[in-house]
Amino acid sequence: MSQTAMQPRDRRIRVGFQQALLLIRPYVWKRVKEQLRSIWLIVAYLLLFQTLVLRLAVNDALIISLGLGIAIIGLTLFIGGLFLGLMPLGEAIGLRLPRKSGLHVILAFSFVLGVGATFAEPAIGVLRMAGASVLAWEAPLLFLLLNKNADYLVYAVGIGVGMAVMAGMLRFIYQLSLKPFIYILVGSLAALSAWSYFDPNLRHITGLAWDCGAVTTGPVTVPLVLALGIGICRVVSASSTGGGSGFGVVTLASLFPILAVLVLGMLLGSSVSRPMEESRFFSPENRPYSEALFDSREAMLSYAFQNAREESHSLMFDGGRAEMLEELRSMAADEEKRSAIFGSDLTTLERWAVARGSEAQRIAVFGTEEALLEAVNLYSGYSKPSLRPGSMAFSGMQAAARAIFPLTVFLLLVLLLVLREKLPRTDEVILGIGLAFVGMAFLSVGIESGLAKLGNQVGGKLPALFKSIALEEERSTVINFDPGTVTTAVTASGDRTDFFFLQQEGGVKTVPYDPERYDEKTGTYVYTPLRGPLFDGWGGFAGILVLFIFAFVMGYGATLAEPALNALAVTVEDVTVGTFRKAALIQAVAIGVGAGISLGVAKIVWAIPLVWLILPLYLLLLLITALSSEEYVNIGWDSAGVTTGPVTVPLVLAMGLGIGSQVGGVEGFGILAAASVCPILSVLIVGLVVNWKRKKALGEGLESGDEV
Amino acid sequence: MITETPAAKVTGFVHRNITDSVRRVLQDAGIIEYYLVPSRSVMLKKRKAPFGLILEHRTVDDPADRVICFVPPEWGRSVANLIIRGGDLSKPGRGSVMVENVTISRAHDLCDPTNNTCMTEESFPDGPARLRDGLTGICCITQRGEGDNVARIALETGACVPLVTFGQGTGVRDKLGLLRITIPAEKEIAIFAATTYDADEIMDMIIEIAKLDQPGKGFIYLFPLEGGLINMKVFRGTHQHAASIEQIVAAIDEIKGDSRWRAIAHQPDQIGRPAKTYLRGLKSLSYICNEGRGEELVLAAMEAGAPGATVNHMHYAGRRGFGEQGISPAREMISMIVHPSQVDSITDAMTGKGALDDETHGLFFISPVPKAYTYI
Repeated sequence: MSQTAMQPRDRRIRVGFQQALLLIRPYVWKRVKEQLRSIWLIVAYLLLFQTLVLRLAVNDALIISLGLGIAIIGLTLFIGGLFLGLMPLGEAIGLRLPRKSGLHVILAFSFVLGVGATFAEPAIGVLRMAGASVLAWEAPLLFLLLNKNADYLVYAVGIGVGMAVMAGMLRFIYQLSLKPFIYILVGSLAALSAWSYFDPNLRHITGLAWDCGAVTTGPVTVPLVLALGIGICRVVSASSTGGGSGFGVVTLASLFPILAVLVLGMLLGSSVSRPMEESRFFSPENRPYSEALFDSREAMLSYAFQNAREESHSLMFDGGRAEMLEELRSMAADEEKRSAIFGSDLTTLERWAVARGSEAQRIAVFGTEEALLEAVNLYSGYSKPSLRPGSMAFSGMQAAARAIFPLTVFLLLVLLLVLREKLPRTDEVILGIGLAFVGMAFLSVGIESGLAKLGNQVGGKLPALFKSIALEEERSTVINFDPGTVTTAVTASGDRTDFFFLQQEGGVKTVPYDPERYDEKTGTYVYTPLRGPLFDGWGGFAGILVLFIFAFVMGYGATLAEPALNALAVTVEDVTVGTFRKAALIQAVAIGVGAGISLGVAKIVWAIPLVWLILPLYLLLLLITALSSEEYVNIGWDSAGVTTGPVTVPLVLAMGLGIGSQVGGVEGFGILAAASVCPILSVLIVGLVVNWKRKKALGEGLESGDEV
Repeated sequence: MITETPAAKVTGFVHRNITDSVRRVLQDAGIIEYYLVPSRSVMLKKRKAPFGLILEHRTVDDPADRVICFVPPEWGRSVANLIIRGGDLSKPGRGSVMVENVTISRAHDLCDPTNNTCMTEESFPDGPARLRDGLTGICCITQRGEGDNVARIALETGACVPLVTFGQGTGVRDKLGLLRITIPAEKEIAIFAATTYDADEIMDMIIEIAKLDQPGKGFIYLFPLEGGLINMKVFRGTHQHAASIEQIVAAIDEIKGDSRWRAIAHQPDQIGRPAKTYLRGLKSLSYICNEGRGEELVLAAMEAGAPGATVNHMHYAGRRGFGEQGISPAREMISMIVHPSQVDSITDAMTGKGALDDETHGLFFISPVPKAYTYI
């Protein structure tokens, strides 16, 4: 070295294309391998479960595997972008902000960052998906918040996150412990939730509120806020690492929005009618209140046709059933009338009539029996949702651009204009932001067409574990069905069952005959194959147990691939100089999420009110928090916010909704909330054990160390 | 103002739980400014295996801190004894102390350590001096993830409980343009002390195990210590005797006055291997500044001929609080091992880039590196 070091060197080494490839290949491969390692478990698990346990073929296998490949590339790029671009940017601002600006600037910046992050990654789509089965008359307030007043919901969450980031920064600057924040927030949340439980309208909001807390902190926000906090704490804190300082904002950003949504619910709750019977909801005297839940009368009418019974449709019209049928008739003919309610495409109306319409309504739409018969043959087959790769890629890119660019531009502006500092390692940061954008677009496309699709297939069939379910996508219609072919079988106890033989795919199978499925007029028999219960031991409990195990492993596997958790774990390892290993945190969190999702599934299967599930857990957490060290409290509670990200949420919701739709219309809220409480518990318990061991080890040094 | 003064750099390597009591004695003694470097201490733990099988010892980590302060040279040993008393370090398992003689070559006047202390004779209560002579410091910089392997050698030879810190390396990497991202910059720095008789042997063992004779694996160097106290409790776990082996060793050291009696015998299997070319007579040039300024200054140093640098974060605990335009509590240290003839040109180049200005609050210090090794 002494010889080479003597000569001044060129500033840059020229690297040829070949050499550059030699450098890049192992770099990229190492990172792809990391993502493969994190995602293979969940993929293999879902595939094996689908094929070996549920014994069903994987539909669209080609698209799914393509999607998975895209998702892995997306994850690799996105995580690379986080570490190269977004996190250094956040940290650079954090390091300079407290030294260059006053408290009011920091607070204003924090609020704008929090609100902006929420608007950039609104999780409202996820919440809508979870609440898709919510009926307007069963939970009017919830319905209102998810549909007409969804904007308010986003605002409330945004303000909540903004206040959380502000509170977090104040905490850093005045070096306050996170514990009192947790005690006060969780305490008041518990009280509010318990109180809401006794209000019929607010009861349905609690699930939404707790889930809001879980989903708002997305894969872009979390790493940014973490890096920012680390930077600020390095300047303002008193100890070498500040006892896990830099963490905690994510915790607050998951708790404040819950509060904000509960308060919003209470504000709106007084003006919204209470849950009621469907017939009362649509009755003329109640109509003004009901219409208040919708944008317009047309929107309500459309909702009624899609979701309510025929009697309710009639109630919407002053002229009763006759006017309703007349309206349908004119809609079939008049495009303008149709467009307000069913959209201008005639097939939507016709599909509705075939799928949901009553006999009279069908005739009203199609006019003649022959047209109806034709339409039934046309529409009654299972219609696969069409896949449009172009529009999916576009919407993925749009979401990615919205999630990344406004926030980073805001941060860059703050750095350059407010702090008047240069961007460190400009080329790396810009490359990182670009990678994060491309990665996120890839990730969302890959998840949608790969992992979520697979999750949907498995999730929808899961109830087959403990009960018998219909396989809708294998539904087929037998045209010109002859009831004469139906034969009767006798069971050992003498009961009679009717069945017929169906020739299908080169084989003959017996199909139980259900007279209700035979339409005499059209001569068709709609046949839907059944599956399950696959595990019916112990009075059906065996199947449910398998379901819990499935939920656990799925939650565990999906969490391993969560990018925000990866960012948190790397940050934790860095801040603790390796005493808290990345793998240890990820494992602890993944096990927690698995347990949480099992709990959430239990909530859905047995229809346990969310409050019963969440409150005891949080109270237990408060106790453990009081016993834990500040460092682990910060890290543990932050784990709650990072678990529910782009990989876990679609899978969990698919499963939750799949089970929910089979066991009776419970909404899908609450699983995510349960999935974020358990990891806190697991990380804190790990912390208690580790600290106890350390104290013991140090204690030996103390007691045994007599004067030497 | 640019000054060149001799100083003592006193470093306490203490368990995180002890950090606070060490800080308290330093503050009580009038040492207002010191640095904290978050680290981890690595120990061995015996593994239990069924049927009495013998397993390799596992390494376990504890959070720890390096507490660094600069004091006038005549105070060095006293401050070290102060830290030993404050942290009760004479009991094995609690921490180590090192005293180095360094030269503060240039410093921003706020950072000049000679006016950082308001110590008097009364700052140091009487008590038995625990400091030992005949020690040499060993510092090994490796890729992230290799630190425990190096630490294991320090532990298994019974030398000392090492402290491992994270750092960022720069070198060839920064001359590659954007392609630099393909070469990981994360480094682990293991620092510990060994008796001077053993230091060469341990250095050779580390070179073997950490494969430092291969390119890009790392760097190791020895540095002389004025005095120190080493933590020899390399095992975590209870012992079954009235005194632990570490306590007995410490007692014999004290009786004998040094630790020559337990020098590791020269291992015969070293003979026959190709002789290593050590780098001798180098200087360690270190520079501490406000965090965020380091990147630019490292580039300046490399342009002036520095072969590479390691940067690590440190926390500055001083009299200036948050928001004031003083020294930032977030500081970083740039460490370079250079040829003595390069010291001036590098410090000049860095000073030219503002290393000593009011934004940066820089501090250069130099110490000898008698022996170093890396792949050339």
